[in-house]
Amino acid sequence: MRRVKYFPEVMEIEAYVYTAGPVGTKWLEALKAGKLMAAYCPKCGRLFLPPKMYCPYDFEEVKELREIAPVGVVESYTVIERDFNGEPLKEKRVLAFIKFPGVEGGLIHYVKADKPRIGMRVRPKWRDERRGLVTDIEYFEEA
Amino acid sequence: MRVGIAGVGWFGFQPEVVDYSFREMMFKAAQRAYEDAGGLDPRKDVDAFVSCQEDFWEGIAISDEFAPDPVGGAMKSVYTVAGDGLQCVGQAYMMIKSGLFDVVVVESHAKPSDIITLNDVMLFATDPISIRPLDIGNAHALAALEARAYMHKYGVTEEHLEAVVEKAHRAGAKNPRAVYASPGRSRSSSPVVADPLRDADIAKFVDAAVVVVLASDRVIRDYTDAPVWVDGAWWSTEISSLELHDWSFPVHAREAADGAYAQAKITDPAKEVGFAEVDNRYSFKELQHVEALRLAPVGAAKDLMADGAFCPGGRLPVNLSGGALAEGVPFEVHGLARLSYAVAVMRGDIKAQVDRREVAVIHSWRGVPTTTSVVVVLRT
Repeated sequence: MRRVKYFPEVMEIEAYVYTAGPVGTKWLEALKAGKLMAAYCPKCGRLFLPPKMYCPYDFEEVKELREIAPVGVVESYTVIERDFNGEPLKEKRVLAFIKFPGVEGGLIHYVKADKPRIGMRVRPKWRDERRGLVTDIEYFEEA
Repeated sequence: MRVGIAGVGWFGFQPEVVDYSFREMMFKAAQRAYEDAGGLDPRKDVDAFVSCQEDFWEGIAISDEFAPDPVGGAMKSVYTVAGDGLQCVGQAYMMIKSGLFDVVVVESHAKPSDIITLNDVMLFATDPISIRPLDIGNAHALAALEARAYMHKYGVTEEHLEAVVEKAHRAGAKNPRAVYASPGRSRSSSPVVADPLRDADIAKFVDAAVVVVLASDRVIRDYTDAPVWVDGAWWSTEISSLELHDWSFPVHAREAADGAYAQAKITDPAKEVGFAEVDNRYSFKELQHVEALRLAPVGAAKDLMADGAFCPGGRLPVNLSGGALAEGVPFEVHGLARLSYAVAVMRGDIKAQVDRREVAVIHSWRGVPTTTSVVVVLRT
């Protein structure tokens, strides 16, 4: 009965290539080189992450990225124990929002820590082979 | 010019509506709304239709094209909004206020049970450069980051979340369409999903459609003797980069509330509002939204909740319906679910435990990873 009641379909949602944009591309190239950078707004002087070609505060065009110290602070974290369907994960994963001193915004990324805590100072663990993706940072670890 | 609600209809609110497609659910909800609006004929009496939907929720590209005929709007003015159903109420409010429209129908529908890979679809709403490559196994983890930030900043404990969950299930047990209401459900014995969120803190999804008929004060008495007036409708999106939004407080909900209160000339919401229906798709969100809507000072909702202020029969009942924790989350229908329940309470169709039903505030948030809220103020 179900075969006549339902029409199964698979959306071709894997077939996208997203453009990072001029500033985003520079940022990804920096990640590939093992450097962490933030967008710099020439009008308000703020640094912000993730970088975009426009300042979210005053709509000024952003052309420049500046390297930042790769030591962040855990602002919030969660230990993911189950998947979306409620099944226990084989391995718990710590997901965190990480801020960097003097930088607006920050990065969402994994943290490798048995006892994560708010305020914990963390630094990126870079992969040896990097491709220009946010996952060139394998995870953050206690600094 | 005042804008009022002339009729409301809903269909579904089941974990899986097996026999009807989303178009038929729209049709059923529309039939009921038009009957509620005194037997209104959508082919004759309606000036425009507004539908709130999202392509990825439907699994259909350009799903706007599917909007007109199931609600009686073929070859008429139909507008689609990629947003929560309350945003459609905002559109209808503006259209009627302009004087160009007298009767506008608002619609939203959702069939999450059709989606096999819902987590993937939800994560498709995250930034493709900075977040998507992380392949987060559970989209609720993004809400958990907000939960911890809020709880840490304002001293909210798991016991406070327990109080929200308990209230939702107890209230929901009196709401016939709250399929997930389970009075006596213990939060502490439900498994941790992404701490601090347990399974009981996270609303389930539900299939539903809601249709609302709005009309100008010039014609509304042609359709109802008991109009409920929309005196304010406002919405706000904080920012598209989740990393740049406020993790500990829903600024978007505060902005939306302040806009709607200004329109409705409400200066002291905690005193003037009789009851509220707010988004509680995660338990902590109810506390946040109560504060964002100025129904409690920031950081104080947890204590007022513990004192019973927001319970049925309390000083300012919040989510007499049980909210999304009891009814489920029907994607963009959510705001209309909150609104339709409030309208029924205000008209006296539902005998809820509330002393003051003349002014209600309705809120919806679009869920993670969005930073969009809508607030509507209703008056009898």
